[in-house]
Amino acid sequence: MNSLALGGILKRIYSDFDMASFSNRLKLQKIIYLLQASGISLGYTYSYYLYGPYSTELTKEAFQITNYKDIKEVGFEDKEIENKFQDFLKRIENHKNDEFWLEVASSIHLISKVYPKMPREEVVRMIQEKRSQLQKKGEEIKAVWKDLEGWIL
Amino acid sequence: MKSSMKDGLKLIFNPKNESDKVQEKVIGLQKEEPISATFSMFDDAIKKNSDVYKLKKPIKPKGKIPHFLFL
Repeated sequence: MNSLALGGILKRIYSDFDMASFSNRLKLQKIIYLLQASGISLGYTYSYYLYGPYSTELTKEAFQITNYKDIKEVGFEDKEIENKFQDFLKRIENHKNDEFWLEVASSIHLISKVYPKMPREEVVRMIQEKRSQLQKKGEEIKAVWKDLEGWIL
Repeated sequence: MKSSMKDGLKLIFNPKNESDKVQEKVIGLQKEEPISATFSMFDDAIKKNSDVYKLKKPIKPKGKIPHFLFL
């Protein structure tokens, strides 16, 4: 993957973007994770960190995107993948700026993939234990889970 | 801190250095915790570590990177 293609995909999700803030870097990590989880591989390998799935390669490439304004949007040659991407855009539209949702959704997906037999309650507990800010958010985490059912879960 | 004079040599003995404190804690724990509980603590720690290890393993995406076109 090169930074031009990454930037072109990102531009279809966020019209304005930079790597200056932690919030934007978090959104980048989680949105690309979810895009890959939806079946469109961009080749990024992820590991689980404090704020959920994180890819160092993705961070490196995103920092190479300069002048986001001039980046051209990118589509997919394969019609089926393009349709999948458009479906992704629709599903993510109401959540793409919600850091809590993005962090929890990507964490639920990653833990469920690593531990396919782990009961839902246990996955929720693992996410809650990650950071003190998530400890009292059991119900909200379960609500995010519902958003993912029938899509990437 | 204790000090004593022996054969004209002043010995300084500080039993509260860091390794002594750790030793004291370990001995204290062994006294307080029954052996089974200690083993159960180890089991939990091992399980937790293996959970963390599995999650730390890099997860590769499935499938090939598709061909892009500039719009």
